[in-house]
Amino acid sequence: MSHLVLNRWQIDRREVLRGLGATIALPFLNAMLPATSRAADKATKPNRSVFLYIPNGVNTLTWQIEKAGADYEFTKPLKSLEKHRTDITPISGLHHPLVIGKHHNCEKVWLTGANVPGDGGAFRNTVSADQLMAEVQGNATRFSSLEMAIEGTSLAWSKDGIQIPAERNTQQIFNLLFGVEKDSKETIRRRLSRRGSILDLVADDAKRVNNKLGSEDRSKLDEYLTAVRQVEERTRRADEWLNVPKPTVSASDAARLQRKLSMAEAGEYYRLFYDLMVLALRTDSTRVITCGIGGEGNASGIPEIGILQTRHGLSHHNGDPEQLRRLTETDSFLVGQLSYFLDQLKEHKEGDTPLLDTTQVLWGSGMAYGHSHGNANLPTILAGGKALGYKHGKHIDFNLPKIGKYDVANANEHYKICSRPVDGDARVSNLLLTMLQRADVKIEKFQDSVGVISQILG
Amino acid sequence: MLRFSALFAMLASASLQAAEPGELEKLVQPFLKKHCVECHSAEVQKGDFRVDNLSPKVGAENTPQWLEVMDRINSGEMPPKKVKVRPSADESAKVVEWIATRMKEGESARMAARGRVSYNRLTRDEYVNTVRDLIGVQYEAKDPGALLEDPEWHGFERIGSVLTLSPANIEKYLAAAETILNEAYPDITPPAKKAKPAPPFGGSKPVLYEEQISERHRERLRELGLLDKVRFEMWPGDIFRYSLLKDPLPESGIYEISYKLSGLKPANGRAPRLKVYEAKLDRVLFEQDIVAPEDKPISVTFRTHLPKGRPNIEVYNDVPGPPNTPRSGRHGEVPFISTKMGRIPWQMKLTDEAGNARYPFLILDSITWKGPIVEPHEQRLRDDYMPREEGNLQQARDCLATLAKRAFRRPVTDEEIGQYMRIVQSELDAKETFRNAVKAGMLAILNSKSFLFITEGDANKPRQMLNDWEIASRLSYLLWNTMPDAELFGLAEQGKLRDRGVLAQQVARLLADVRSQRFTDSFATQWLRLKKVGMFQPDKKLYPDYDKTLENSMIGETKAFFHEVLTSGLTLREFLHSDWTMVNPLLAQFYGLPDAKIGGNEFQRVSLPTSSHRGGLLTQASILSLTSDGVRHRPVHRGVWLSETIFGKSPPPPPANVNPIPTNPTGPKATLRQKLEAHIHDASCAACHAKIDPLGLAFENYDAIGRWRTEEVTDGVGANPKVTAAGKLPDGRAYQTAEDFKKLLLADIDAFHQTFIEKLATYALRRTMSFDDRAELKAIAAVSKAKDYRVTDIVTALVTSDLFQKR
Repeated sequence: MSHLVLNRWQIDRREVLRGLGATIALPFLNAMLPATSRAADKATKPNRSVFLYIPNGVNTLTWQIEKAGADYEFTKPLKSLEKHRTDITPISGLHHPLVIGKHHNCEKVWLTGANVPGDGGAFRNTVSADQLMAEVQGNATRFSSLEMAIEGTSLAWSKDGIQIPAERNTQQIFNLLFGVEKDSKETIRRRLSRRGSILDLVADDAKRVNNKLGSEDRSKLDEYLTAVRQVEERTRRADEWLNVPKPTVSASDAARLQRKLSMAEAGEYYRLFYDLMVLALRTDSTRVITCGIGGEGNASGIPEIGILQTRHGLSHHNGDPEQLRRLTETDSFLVGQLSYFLDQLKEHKEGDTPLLDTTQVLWGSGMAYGHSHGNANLPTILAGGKALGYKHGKHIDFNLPKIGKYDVANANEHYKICSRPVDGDARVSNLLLTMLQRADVKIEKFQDSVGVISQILG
Repeated sequence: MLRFSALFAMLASASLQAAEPGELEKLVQPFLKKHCVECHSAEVQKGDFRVDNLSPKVGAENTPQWLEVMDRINSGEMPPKKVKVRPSADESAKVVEWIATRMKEGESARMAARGRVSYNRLTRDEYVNTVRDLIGVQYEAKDPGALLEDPEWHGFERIGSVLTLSPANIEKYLAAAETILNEAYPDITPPAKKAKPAPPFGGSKPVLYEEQISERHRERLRELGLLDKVRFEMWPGDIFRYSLLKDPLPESGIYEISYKLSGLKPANGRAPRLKVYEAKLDRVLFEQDIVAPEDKPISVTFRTHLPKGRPNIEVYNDVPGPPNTPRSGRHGEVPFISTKMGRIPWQMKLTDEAGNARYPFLILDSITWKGPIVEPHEQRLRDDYMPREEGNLQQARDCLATLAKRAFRRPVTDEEIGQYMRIVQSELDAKETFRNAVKAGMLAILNSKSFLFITEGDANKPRQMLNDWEIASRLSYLLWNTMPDAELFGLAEQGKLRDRGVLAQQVARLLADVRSQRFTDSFATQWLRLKKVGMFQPDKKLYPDYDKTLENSMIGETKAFFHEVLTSGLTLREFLHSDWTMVNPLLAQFYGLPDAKIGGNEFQRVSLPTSSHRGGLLTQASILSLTSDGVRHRPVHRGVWLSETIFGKSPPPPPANVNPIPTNPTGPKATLRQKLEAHIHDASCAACHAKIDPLGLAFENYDAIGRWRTEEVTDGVGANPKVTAAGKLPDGRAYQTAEDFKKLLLADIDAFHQTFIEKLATYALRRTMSFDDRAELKAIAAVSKAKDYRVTDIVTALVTSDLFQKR
């Protein structure tokens, strides 16, 4: 086994303990690898991806960075990212071509780019980028991906276009990652094996009927069969990981991370989610995380900065200066939380490498100018992942080559830029494709991508 | 979504004398060329609609578009009045007739092509109810980590195509079934030799045990003979944490808990409210307003399902009150005996000098526990599925067959039971106990497709009609939200459920049962979208009186109102306007109902004076709130809600690629309506908003939480502007007030009637209604119209319709 550990990512256990601080007592790393792991063959340097979604767009007037290239100035809401300048790339001008002018589904297609019906009705989504990454990067960890949401729903969609539910309860997330099973290993193994045979049986039972049906009649039963097969796979995986104790967390950290908070204490509550994400990555429990920071329709106000209106309410500001001011405040607050997250990822190191360098973080919205449902020029920030080949430090702007310069003083003109794409080829899918390739997913095209964004690659 | 006209009905029946298909060239194409293509072709595309590229396979392809063409010509809307050359009524009628005929043919073709088997996953609520009626176990599906919330489609939670299934669902179903079976069949540990049987759980406890009282006061009170008279006073917002007996709960199950207490309500104030909350499960176990004199405490009793062990129960006096600074609010070291004995000087005074309550407060005496409670009928169900003799495989087979038949809601084959027996055998081979091996068989049944999905159709041959078993399920899930009971199963077995008379009797029987409340609650919630109430938490500063209790009361009114209309044999008209409503004391206060002498906690029917500005659904606080964003009311959203809910029409979404709305920063104060009207310049926006907005603007006199108002509180400078509720419907009819508006709706009762039937059918059949269902929906409408739109008759008409028996 030892060569696996060395091949995996060369690391000395004392260093781990030092890097992670005394708060976490790690099991021996070789014990972290499941004995029969197929993953072991694929184990490489950790390659992590995090996707963070904010709803309803931003106050685009105060948000817009006006200059492209390295010597850009951070605008007011982005100020807290100044210290991360060399680790981030703000991008202007991206959009999802199939979603332009439609709304209330932006969240669902942010990572998929699928076409949606304009009336908010039922539709079948396509696979989200994170799930393609989980297929490649998820084999080495206990959880192939982690879906969470502070408010709103999951960003992750399976290959069949089915939403993978997100966990919103922080105590449940903690238990999943670090909770200690009450039952003995033997009891759990028995339970898993029983579940395995039951899943086998119900799958066979369903297959028998499915074979009699024409391919057009099978969608619901196929859905059931796919789900059952995937749970069988997860059950096998859980069995493999049974010999590997979950990472232990110090009592004080456990207490901190198991606090019951609510949106009434928004800042604390957000940081609790970010802390859980950081800890999930530090302990290599998963390498792919999606987290919805707010739903399009239900992102609460933030009492600690004196803003009680929902973000959705604020986004329909109708030009009211006070509403716009509050929207900017909320934007600043949300960016501040991102900055906190990046701080944590930077602080924690594997060997000499900060966690941030092996983690690509995408933060953004599927809406730009919420008041009129303008969803071009989407607010987008890419951060981290230097070790995956990114070169940060510049503001990449796809609008400026065509418009020459921004004039946010002329609000209605700027809102047009945020409502109709300036450059039809500047697509979010290009960025997702770039990120997918960085995560070692072997594809040349994602949804409607026309190519990677080479400006951010070193 | 659907539009009906007398003309259409005539034509549809006339259409049976089928026109020659060759008439497409002879009749329809020349008509379209002459009257339509000029505006609706690739070059012009008025209204984003083209007719030049429609498929000639009318009835099979481009059906919605052809239907639109038919409707518009039929209604005389197209070609527009202003064009010079208009077709004669006769020419138009011929084209309409021809299209209608093709539609009818296309419909039959599609019906034949419908999937052989439909799989509709049980919703979370249905799962819980079904499990309780199947195995006699209450499963708490909303507890953290339990089942996932279901996706919805325009408020409906039961639409089969929308209820997707992910691996997470399967994992949760597995875990849920394990929990359920472990509660029904706990592990039996043989008692140790000579060990005394454990005393049964239960008993009473005082609010505080002696040892919780400081020694000084304990001894003082003992001497005064008051030690057993210690009570616990709870001011507004106060919390009490000592509800548990010394023993932990021995098993998961249903427990009965009683609180003995007094509740003092200040004159003109709110009653104190007992709220019992489980913090770990984040679940409110019980809540109720309590009014009982200090010297005449009452007992309130409730049952709740709790897991084994020590629950984390917090009791609140859940009513707004003065701020509880630690100093004035804190419980002193001196135990509370009576308000007459006063409190420590710096503590908040609970009563005035005359001894009347200054704030709503509770005084707790004792708590009593009983349980776990398994009702005899629940125990019988559990016993049905567990072999009586250890190791008897024949009994195991019979038990699993009984379970599978009920769980799958249909007869099962030997082959199916064979599969489950193989699981039992493999578990026995793995050295599991007999009991656990049988449980594994049950676990497989509870996770099989036949349990998790309500299935209609036959994999072996196409079938349009439901069989008796499928009808039993459809009916039972419609009116009870659960699996069929023994009587329905019996009728299915005897093949009687396709008999309309029997069905009508069953509707009456099911509606008369208390379980029909699940239908009224659930259908009202889904049709009216009540889950949106409180989705945007109202701003505390603007709406200080708004709290969870008020929110629940608002929702409660609407559900109770629906229930009353159904059970008292009232008609659809009551939904649009009524001179009565259902209120509890809090809501009566909120509405400012004069002389509302309403006691107790239940909703009760009260008559409404005209000055109340209420009546019907549309001016209920829940409906007026659910479209708000927590700060402002939203007239456009109100309009969209009304259009969907009452007229069954979803306004088209805003067209893509419109220029953004220019903003108009505030100057002097203006109502939202004024701001709205100021920026509808764009003709393409205005056309649509002219149809939506008047439906919402009628309610300008109600604010974001449904309070009556005459002026609007808003940002800006100057006096608050007056609101105007006057408007004009798209058809030109004008109204001045919400009252007028309701009268206009009443005049349109048939349109609402169609919508209501369509919504009910969507709920019952778990699918959207399409134009294929037109004729059958219409037939239902004809029946219930003859009964003067009585809501029970509408339900009966649906269940006894052709539509209800079809897949």
